[in-house]
Amino acid sequence: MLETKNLTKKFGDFTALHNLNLKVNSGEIFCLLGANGAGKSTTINLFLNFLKPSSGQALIDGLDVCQYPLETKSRFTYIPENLRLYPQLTGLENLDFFYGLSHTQNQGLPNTGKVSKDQLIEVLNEAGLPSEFLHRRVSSYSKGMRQKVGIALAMVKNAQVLLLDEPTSGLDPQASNEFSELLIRMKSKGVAILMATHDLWRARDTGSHIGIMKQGHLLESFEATTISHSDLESLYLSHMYRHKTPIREE
Amino acid sequence: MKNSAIYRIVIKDFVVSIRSGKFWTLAGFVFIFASVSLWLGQSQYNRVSTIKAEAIQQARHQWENQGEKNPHGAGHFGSVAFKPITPLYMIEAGLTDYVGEWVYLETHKQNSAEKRPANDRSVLFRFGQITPGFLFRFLIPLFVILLGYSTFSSEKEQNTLRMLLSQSITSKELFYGKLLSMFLQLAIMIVPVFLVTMGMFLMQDFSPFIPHMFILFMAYVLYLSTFVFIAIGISARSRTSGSALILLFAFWLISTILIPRLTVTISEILSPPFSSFDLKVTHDEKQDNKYVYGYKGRDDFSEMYAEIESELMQEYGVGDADSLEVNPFGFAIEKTEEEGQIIYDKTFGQINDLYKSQNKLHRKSVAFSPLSALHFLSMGLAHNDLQAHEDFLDQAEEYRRDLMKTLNMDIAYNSRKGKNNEEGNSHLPYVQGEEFWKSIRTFEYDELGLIKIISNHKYDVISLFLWFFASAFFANWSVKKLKIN
Ligand SMILES: Nc1ncnc2c1ncn2[C@@H]1O[C@H](COP(=O)(O)OP(=O)(O)OP(=O)(O)O)[C@@H](O)[C@H]1O
Ligand SMILES: [Mg+2]
Repeated sequence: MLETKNLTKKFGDFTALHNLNLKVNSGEIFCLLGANGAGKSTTINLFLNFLKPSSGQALIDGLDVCQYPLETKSRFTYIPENLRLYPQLTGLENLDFFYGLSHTQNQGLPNTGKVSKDQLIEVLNEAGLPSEFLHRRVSSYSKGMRQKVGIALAMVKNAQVLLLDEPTSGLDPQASNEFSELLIRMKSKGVAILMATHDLWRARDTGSHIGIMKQGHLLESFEATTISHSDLESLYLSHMYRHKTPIREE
Repeated sequence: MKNSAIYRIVIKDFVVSIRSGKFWTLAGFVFIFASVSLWLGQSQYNRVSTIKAEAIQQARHQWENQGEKNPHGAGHFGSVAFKPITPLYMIEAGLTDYVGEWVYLETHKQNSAEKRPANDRSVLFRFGQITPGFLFRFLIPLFVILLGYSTFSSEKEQNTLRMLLSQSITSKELFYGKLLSMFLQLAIMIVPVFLVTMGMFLMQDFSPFIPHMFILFMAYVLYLSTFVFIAIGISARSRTSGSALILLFAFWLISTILIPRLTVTISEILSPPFSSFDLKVTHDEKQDNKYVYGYKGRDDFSEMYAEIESELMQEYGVGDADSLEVNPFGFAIEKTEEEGQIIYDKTFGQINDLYKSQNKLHRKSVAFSPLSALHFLSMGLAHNDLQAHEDFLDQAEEYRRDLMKTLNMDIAYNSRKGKNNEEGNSHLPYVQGEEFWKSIRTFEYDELGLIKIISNHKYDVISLFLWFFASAFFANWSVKKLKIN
């Protein structure tokens, strides 16, 4: 479960995020939509503790990420837009390395058990990495394959939270379709997923909830099933064109 | 252990470093350079110590077989004191090639050291500096930089840092993981060199010098760790590997080449050294004009002789000089020795002061360059630094004074007794032979003890530790400050 409480981030005089309140329960996919510079990545970086909030809180399973950076990090997996792995290592070795790091801090969490190499291979297969690439160096991987290693990490780590920053941008339609299927599978296992995206179509299809952000404000959020594809598009565009300045000042 | 994040990072970094290919290239170079330089060092050591042993033997042989002569004549014939080299010469040649290694001991004169054995050195050895010391002081620090400059900056450039920092690891674990991976790579390079050197020392029964060698390697570890820390710190602070490399290379250049060279030049400008020619002229002047025929206002040897003779007549209660059983000549010549020594103490004192003031400036440079600190310490441990040289000269001079006194007192007490004295007052017809020459001990240099060496070099040791801790602090701080973007 992830949650923000009046989360605000200022860079100097500039406020990138205004009093954000959102909640993603387990088994939900919350899709953050918004133009470039809306504050989506800022929100995710605040969860990652890469940025310190100016005020408010970001919580994972009820734990403040600033107070409990290690505990909260052990509960989520982060997949950036362009997931980078060590090019000199194979996909399997990368997965083993990152799993090893998360694994070490996880006393008392579901995934304390040691995972064998075979299990890692199995998870990579499940994530859809072509088996002939398992033992090849990541330098030869496509972007989609690297994202799959990221998903495999979330699966093997048994992460309860996924933080995704435009994970499908730049993927070909088939690859992003496969990615969406993986997300739906994770969702059905009870994972709480926060995903920043520009893909309205997929947000409507994959997401359980949709939020529209503009200039640091969450303008609207609603369940994905309550809106059709075309309505979502016109709603989004109407928000984007309507005002140059923030709509609601809180 | 296998589950710790530190262990994971060590292994990951090590594998990445090995696969990038640079590690084995550098390690291979260290191995080859170390093998060649140890082999060269060993053969030079054998050569020089054989030459010296032969020279010592030959000098002793000449001394014992100088034939029958008056002891004062033996004083003019003279003897030679050799400074031995220690096995650490194989690693650190120090000043051996630049300062004298033997000194000619004769009556009336304190000579400065000569450096003949250096002339026999192979050109390669003298100019190429192919010594393990050179490898450790200059090249391995450079290799440490090449291994470490990208340790964090490449994570930034590849954007893997984002993934790394989104895992539940502490900055401490990250720091120690990176650090130990660097140390692992460094250890693979230097531990074999240490073991081979240790083996060479054990096989040749150099055991008295194993503690020195061990301390030298500990100093190398401190010194190289400083470079490891600085490489990690700069890498963590830099946005790109390129800028990290440039900064680190500049640091290497300044601390290993620029500062040591600059201090030599500046100290020479501030207090120009005597050339050995100047030195000789000064000596000869003093010798000719002042002390042989008297000092303290006397300008006539016979005047002093008469003074001593009357003192002795009083002491022995005889009214006539011919009935003295001791020979005033022995005392008079010893007196000229002692008075000459006062002048030499002054002259050599001035030279020593000059060296010391130059040395002081060098010494200050250790605050700015860990290399200087390491170099001074290693020369000290190898007994071929300035202090060891001065200590050798002091011991040789002490021996010379002792030797001359023995000869003069032999004239004083024995020349008027027995068969050799037929001509009365003069010392000249009196002669001594082989048995007497043999009874005089050979010069043996007593090396400075390890504790004395360390205390002589305490500022170097302190400097190495300060550099170590300061750079460790910097590295730790830089890693803590690591940020995304
Ligand atoms: N470190 C920073 N310093 C100053 N301003 C920043 C910083 N990071 C982000 N910003 C600003 O905050 C605003 C929000 O940026 P953010 O990256 O969150 O947008 P986004 O919604 O992810 O956009 P995109 O769709 O382009 O990824 C932008 O105006 C950006 O310029
Ligand atoms: Mg963004």
